Amino acid sequence: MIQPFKKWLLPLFFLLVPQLTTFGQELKTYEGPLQVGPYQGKAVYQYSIIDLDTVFNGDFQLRKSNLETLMEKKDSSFGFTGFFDQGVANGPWEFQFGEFNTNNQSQVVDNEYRVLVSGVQEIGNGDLSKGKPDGTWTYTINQIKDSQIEKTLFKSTVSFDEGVPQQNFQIENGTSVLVGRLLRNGMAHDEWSFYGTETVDDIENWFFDDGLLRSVQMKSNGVSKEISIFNTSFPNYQTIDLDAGFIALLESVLDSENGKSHVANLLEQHLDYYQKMNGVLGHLGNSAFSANMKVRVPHYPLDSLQNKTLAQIASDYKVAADLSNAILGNSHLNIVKRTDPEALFYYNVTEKINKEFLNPLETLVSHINLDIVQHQPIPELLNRLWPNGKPSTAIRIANDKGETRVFSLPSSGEFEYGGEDLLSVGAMATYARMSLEYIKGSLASRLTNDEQLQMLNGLEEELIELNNGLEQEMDSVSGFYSEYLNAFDQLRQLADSSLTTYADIENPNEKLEYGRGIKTCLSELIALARTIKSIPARREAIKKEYTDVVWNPFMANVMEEEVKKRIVGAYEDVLIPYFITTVSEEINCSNAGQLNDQMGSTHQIILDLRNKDTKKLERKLRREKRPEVILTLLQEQSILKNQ
Amino acid sequence: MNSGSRGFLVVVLVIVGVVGTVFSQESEPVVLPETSQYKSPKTKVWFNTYGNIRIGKRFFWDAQTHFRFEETKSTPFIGQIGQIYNRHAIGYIFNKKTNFRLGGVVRINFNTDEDSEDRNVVPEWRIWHQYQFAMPFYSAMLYHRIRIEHRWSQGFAEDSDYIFRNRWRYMFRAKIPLNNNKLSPKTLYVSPEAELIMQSGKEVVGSPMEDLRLTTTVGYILTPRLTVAAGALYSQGQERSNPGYFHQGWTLRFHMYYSPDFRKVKNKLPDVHLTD
Repeated sequence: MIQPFKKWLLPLFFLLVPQLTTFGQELKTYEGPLQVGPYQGKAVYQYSIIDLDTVFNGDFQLRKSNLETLMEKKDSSFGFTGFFDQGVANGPWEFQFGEFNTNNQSQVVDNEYRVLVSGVQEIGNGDLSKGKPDGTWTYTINQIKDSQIEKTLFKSTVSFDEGVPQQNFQIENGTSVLVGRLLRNGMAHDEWSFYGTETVDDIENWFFDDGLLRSVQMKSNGVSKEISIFNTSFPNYQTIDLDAGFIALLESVLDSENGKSHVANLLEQHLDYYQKMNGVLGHLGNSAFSANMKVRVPHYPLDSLQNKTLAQIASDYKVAADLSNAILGNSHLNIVKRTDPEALFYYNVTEKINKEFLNPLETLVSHINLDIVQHQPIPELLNRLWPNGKPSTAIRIANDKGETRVFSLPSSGEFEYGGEDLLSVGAMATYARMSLEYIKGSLASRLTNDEQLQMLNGLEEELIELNNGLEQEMDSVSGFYSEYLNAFDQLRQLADSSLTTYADIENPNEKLEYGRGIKTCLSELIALARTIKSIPARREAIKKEYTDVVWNPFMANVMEEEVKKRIVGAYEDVLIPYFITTVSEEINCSNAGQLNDQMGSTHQIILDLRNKDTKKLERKLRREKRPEVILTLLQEQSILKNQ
Repeated sequence: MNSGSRGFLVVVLVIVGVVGTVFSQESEPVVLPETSQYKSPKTKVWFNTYGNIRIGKRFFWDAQTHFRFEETKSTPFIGQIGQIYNRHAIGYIFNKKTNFRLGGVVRINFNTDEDSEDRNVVPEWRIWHQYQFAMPFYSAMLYHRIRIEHRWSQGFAEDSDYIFRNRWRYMFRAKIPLNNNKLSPKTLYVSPEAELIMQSGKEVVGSPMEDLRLTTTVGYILTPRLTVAAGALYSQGQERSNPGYFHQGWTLRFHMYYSPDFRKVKNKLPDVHLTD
């Protein structure tokens, strides 16, 4: 809970231990970094050592603000100040949370640099008595512009007496106010009124009778209606906190048509902020800080079987929801379902289960978690969740052509969940879970390992892109000779056959491996296609390189003369045709890259030989017509000259 | 028009005109025929080699060897050897369009008079200089060539003396590429040419027009260093012995032009730019 920065801990400990024995409860001051829950900042606090425990005692302060991040972007600051008495929060406390940015303009005022900030500041303050709020507590959220309060976004004012809210309270946001009354025991009482400060149209009144919410009156756009909540007499009542659970219960009882309750909305915010302050105090060893408003609600005690059933529903729901998310969110299935009617069917069944089974169950599970099922009559609750009755075990799916196909588990006969009790709902949740498990099993081949699928998806995209790239290279070859066109055609065919082979592979591992192989291959084929396309340009380059300008005195002009004809001849007449023939006749994924490299390096060697002594080579090339031998000779020559 | 070549042309024509009007006295009377008498044409074959061997940035060695055959009574064109030429000079490339050369010629003259009892072979010596101007004209090249020769020749008779003559030659020639837009390797070209050879000297009396040669040649440029050509030449000119008589000739000409360059590549490359 209390985590002084570690390097401080040890010296502190040694310092304190001997003192403890002599001075007992003398106040010490700690100044340094401190982490309180999610809040890490700089702390100054007083403490005592009691029974070898460090106990907050006296002033406490924890702050954080960072000028650097403020200037850069946005700073989240906080500041908590208060007072502890022997480890218990006591006396005035203030909680500040801020989100600020600045316009980066500073001014010097009285030897201080001042930076104006804008943002949102939350301040909660009041007195604590033995950890509990006492007296008036306000929680204010202000919108700040250039260090001035521009607007109050939220403000709640509640009077407490030793943790129990009393008398009138007021919660307002920028446009509306809620005024309510509480009994001395914190029980909601009388009329709670919500009205707009700017428009008088939106009005909402809650009528409590000693904590029991009798009715809600809502007036919106001139239409007024009154909704009974707990207006009849109930066999049992229970007092609960006015918390998220109560609000959920109210929303469940309130027809959804009536819209969101403004009062509930404000109360929720109020509760959240109190929870926020409680979070800080809780991490400092005090967890008695709460809004603590009370209400009374009807109570329908659940027996152990019902509780067990609820637990089973929650667990079935969780499994089913996970399955449904996995199926509906599976990217591969989403692609496959376009062409695979079986996949589409199961996908649609899942969607329907999700909508008709799981969505209502989700609400029920949230009620279970908020522990408010016991405050609603079960048949009524079920009726609210499934106003049109519970869905059938036979799930009907119509396809595009209007044909209907029915999904039902083979064991669907065993699931009787027509009854209006929790056991029926339990059976239904089980049916949903088992159906989804069955569907997942049926789709297993289409729902292979997600990671692998993603890799395959990515790979496939790359492959298609590469193939398109190759096609593009092929698009502009009309001007070439037929031998060249033949070679290009071979490249295209090789790409096609590789992709076909890839598509036919079932095993994802093999598919991935093969796919990676042909990815490389396709890249090499593209490179090869480019190289072949560059042959005319390369010929031109060689011709240019191996052309000498000569003065012809007879003609009285400069003439171009080809030099080292045997080298050029070997390249032009033997090697290039050999390369083209090799592409046309022998190209495959294992030699494409090598051939491309060979073509590139040969061209370079020929270029390099222009200015080298090649008499010997030229002699050897005189009668040599075998491309392999010529390549070797060129290779030897280039190595020789490199040394 | 190349102004330089025009200047030379004028000079040549003036000289030729002056020489032509001055008639020397002959010891033996020459009876001129009433009308010009054209002898029946002789048929000949010439095999000419022209070598231009680069020896420096601007200098080259002009080495020409010509084998000239002519008819016998029984064999037209190639019946007998007429002359063997050895023409050499040092040439100077003034710029891309102008070159000069100066050198000597040894010509071996064979006695082609089948009835003659005289010597069979006599040498003839010349000093020659030549000024050639090239003019690019569209895809073709036009050439003006002025060649001046100082010639010492003798007859085949025993103990005949050398006579000295000057020859004044002007040739106009075009080279028109046929299968290309410029004269470059692997180009076939046609080359019409006309050359007027005038002569002067004490021994030249009334017959200044030694030869008028009208030729058409078709050539093929194999490489910048090798060109072959063949053509037909019609020629006519005054007989020195009697200006009233004109000899005529039909000559088949076969040429090989070669211009080896034995210098190293690194010396060779910049040279082609010459002065521009």
